[in-house]
Amino acid sequence: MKKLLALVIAGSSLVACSSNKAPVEAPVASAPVVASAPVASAPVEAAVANHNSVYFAFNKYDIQDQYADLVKTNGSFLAANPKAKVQVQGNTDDIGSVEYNLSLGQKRADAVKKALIATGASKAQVEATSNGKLKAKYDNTTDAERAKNRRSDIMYTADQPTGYTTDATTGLPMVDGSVYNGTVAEGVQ
Amino acid sequence: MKFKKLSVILIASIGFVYADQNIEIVGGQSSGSPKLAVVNFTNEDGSISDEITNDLKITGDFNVVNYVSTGSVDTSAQYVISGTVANDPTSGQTQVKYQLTNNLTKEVLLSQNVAFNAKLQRKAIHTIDNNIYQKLTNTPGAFTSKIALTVKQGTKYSIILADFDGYNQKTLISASHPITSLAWDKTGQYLSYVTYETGKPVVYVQNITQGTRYPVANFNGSNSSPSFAPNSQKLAVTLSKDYGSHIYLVNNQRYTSASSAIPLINFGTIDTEADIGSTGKVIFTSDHDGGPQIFMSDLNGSSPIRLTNGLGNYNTTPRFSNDGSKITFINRNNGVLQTYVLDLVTQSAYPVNSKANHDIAPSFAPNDKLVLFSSDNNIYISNITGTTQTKLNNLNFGEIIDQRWARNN
Repeated sequence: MKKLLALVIAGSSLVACSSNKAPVEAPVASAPVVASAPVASAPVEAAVANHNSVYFAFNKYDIQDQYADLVKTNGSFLAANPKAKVQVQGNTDDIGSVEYNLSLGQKRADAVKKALIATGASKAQVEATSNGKLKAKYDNTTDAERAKNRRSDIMYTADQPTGYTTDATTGLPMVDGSVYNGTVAEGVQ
Repeated sequence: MKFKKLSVILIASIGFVYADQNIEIVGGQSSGSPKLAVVNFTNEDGSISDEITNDLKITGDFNVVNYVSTGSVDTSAQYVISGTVANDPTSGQTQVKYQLTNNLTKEVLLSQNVAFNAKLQRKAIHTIDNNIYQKLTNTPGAFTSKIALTVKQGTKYSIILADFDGYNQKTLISASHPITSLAWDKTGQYLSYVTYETGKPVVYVQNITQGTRYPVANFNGSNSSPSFAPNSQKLAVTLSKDYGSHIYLVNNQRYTSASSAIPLINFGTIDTEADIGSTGKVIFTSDHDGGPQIFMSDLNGSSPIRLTNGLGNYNTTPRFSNDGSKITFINRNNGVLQTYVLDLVTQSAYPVNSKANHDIAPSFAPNDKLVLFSSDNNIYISNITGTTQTKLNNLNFGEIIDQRWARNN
């Protein structure tokens, strides 16, 4: 089932780039990358690679509408694959105490955990943890960078979908068009 | 220390000398009263009078001036500390004879002979300073106490143990994953901390002498923010196993093997940074009123009262004084994070670091007279009245994540 999905959607992955979910600040997922990618020389490479992450506004913990489909995709996958498991890791920007930020990140992880369960995952499949500000992937020097650190990453720990990877440099979870046919805005203000 | 001899020669003509660059008074005037003359000990290399001068200066309780000889001390000094040193190169033993004198009455207030292995000189002098401080203030000194830090250098995280003044640094553990949230037990033998080495925050307790350790909180979700109960048999921790972050009591498995967690504080959507005082009260940070504020309750979690009133919308990281009469915490105002002390008796709260920028994680010295904190990756000590701030220049790390003063000497 997983492989089939990947084959079917591979053909439509270019379409994903023109998704109406325009990135607010998403240079990584912008269309020109796809246009210049020589498809023939890298046929395995997905045309679209999204962070499997939900971004939050400053001091906010609710999942914005633009991330609902991504969460639902993961929830549906977990429902269809009972052996699959995820660890949702909440993160914050660097403002404030280590421990309070750990709890703020936990709120962001809990929100995604609840949404995954609401869309089909079982409670045992989802663990929500927090890195607080301690594992910042971006350097917190500008508002835009801090926005990228306000994030919950959906990390697979067992039976991940085909098309799920972790980025070699950042360690962030990635999904290609075979998993999620949309675009994720990296960071919201 | 290379410049010691040079500065002695240069400054000899004006009568005083001060050389250790590792301990720098950076804030306040450090001119407490009374004036205290520390005279270079006869036959010392300068390191003894340096250490005595540093220790007493950091307290902010005195106007400490280091003189090269007794003859250059004038009557403006109320007390004089002087002594002689005898080294035995074959045995490695050092003999120090020192005295504390009232410079006006010439009464000898304290006079002792101390023998020690030369390798343990700093510890021996700190002990002498404890005695001098006790004599002058009727309060125990904290000069033989330890501090712990968690730091990040490159991609490596470590716990560093050091003397209170930053000397004698030792690495307790190193890891490639974050370590934070240090808490000492009252004996100074056990240190609790949070480590991410399993991919999520888990609370451990480690014997700092033997190096052995065991997890005390490893529940589903995040485990963080440990604090030992006064008898060390339990720890308060923050757990997220039931959604949100709330405070629980878990067993210290050195005493009890059961790994259950008893709910202690469930007051806001976030309850964390618990610290259990010697009085049996618990202080913690909660978002019950919106942003983070500091509350205090009984150890059964009942009827929390808010301690931070009229202090803006962001107050975190409360830690009790050892006698339970004060707390220190971080206040955020206009982007400035500043170390405060709140006197629970008088209800007055005041900043103790006038040059604050990004202060984090303050804690009291064992004698409750000083507060340790960091700011922009430097370690500072401030006295609790905020008149003197000292920067410890020998604690140089890429990033300082947390620090905690031990509860014992």
